[in-house]
Amino acid sequence: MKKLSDVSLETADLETLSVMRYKCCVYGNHTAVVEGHKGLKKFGDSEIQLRVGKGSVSVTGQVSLALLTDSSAVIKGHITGVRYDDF
Amino acid sequence: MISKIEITVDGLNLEDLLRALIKQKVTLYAVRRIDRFTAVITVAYSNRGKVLDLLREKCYNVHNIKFIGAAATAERLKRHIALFVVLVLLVPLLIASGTVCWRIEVRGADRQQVLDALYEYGVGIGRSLVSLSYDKLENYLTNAMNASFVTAVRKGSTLLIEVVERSEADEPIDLDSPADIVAQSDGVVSRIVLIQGTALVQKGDTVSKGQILIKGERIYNDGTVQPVRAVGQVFATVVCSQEIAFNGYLSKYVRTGESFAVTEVVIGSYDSHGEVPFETYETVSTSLTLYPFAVTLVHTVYYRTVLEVQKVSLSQCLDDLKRQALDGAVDKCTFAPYTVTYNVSDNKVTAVLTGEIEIGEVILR
Repeated sequence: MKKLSDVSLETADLETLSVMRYKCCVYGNHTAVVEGHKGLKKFGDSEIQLRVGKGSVSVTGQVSLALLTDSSAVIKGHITGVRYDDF
Repeated sequence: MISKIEITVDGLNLEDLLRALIKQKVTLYAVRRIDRFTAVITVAYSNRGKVLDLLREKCYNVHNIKFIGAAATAERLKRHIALFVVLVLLVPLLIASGTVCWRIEVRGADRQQVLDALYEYGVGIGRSLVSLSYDKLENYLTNAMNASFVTAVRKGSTLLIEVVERSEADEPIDLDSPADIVAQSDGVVSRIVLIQGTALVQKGDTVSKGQILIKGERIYNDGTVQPVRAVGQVFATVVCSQEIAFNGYLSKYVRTGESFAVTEVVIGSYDSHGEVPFETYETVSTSLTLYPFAVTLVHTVYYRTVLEVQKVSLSQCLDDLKRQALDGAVDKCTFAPYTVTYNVSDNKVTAVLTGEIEIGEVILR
């Protein structure tokens, strides 16, 4: 029996997670998890921006960093938007 | 829970600082921006050296360091090392003190006599109770005190000694020696138990002190009289009263609202009793004994009172007057009363206690 993640990957035409350069998961409007980032670009109480791939991902709202390591970040707070920018 | 430290840091380009930290493989927990130049970062306690060095190197100002989890406890211990050492030494000391006799309570006999006997046996204040055989001690004290029996119980560091004295046999009565039973006080005879002799009074008679109640003689049918020892009991109803005058004013101590609370530490027989700042006061006390330690905490609240004279009607202060009259009567009373009655008039309240006593006393002729 296939797991839900496998079904999702198939539907999205992604064979494995390794094809992804980074992953951004948003849980409700309170938590965002960014894996595979390449550094912190901007850090404020209304926006946190992380470098990913050749662009960046911005999480906006009343947010703060719950965890930050060299490759992953957990952002918590009241998230009002997630924006992707390509360089 | 992982030990962490929370650092409030101040400086320019905080993003650069965070990038530098994660580049050094430092995991950041809960990063909060306070304002443009200030942020609060939380890092693992194990990384504190690396982080603080970096902050110093990059010339950031560190305003506050807060320890979280086990690190906080360790840091407090470091700061209050003297207190920690005292605690570490004090606990075994207190436990050891619980095995030592710090107080001796004596019931049922002269305290000094018991203490002397205990001292001879090798028990006293400050001596160990660990190897003490209570059975042997009880036997020793029973013999030394010539008592019926003695109980010795250890409660914490207090030794409780209870002596039950030997009951002496009554003196043998010579029933051949003539004697009368005479009233030893005034009263109204309530009942008579006559075993031998001739009763000269009966129930309801008023008798006065010194009056013969049962005469020590046996009268035979032919009129001859044989002197005997009067045997029996004569009981009389007795009263005791106390009058409290009422003049329209009532004096009583009332609380002013000022209070003073103190917790006294009683260690063994040492009591850290302090001065009470009030001249007249009422107290409410609670105590807690920390077994097995020889420490008792006594919390006492002293309520300041002042004597107030109030103009009152008789009905308003009747209960107080009755209580005062009863207290006075009980203080004077030499018997066990079985009824209390109050006589209330316009200017006084009288409490009357009624009881029964044996008034007969054997007087040899």
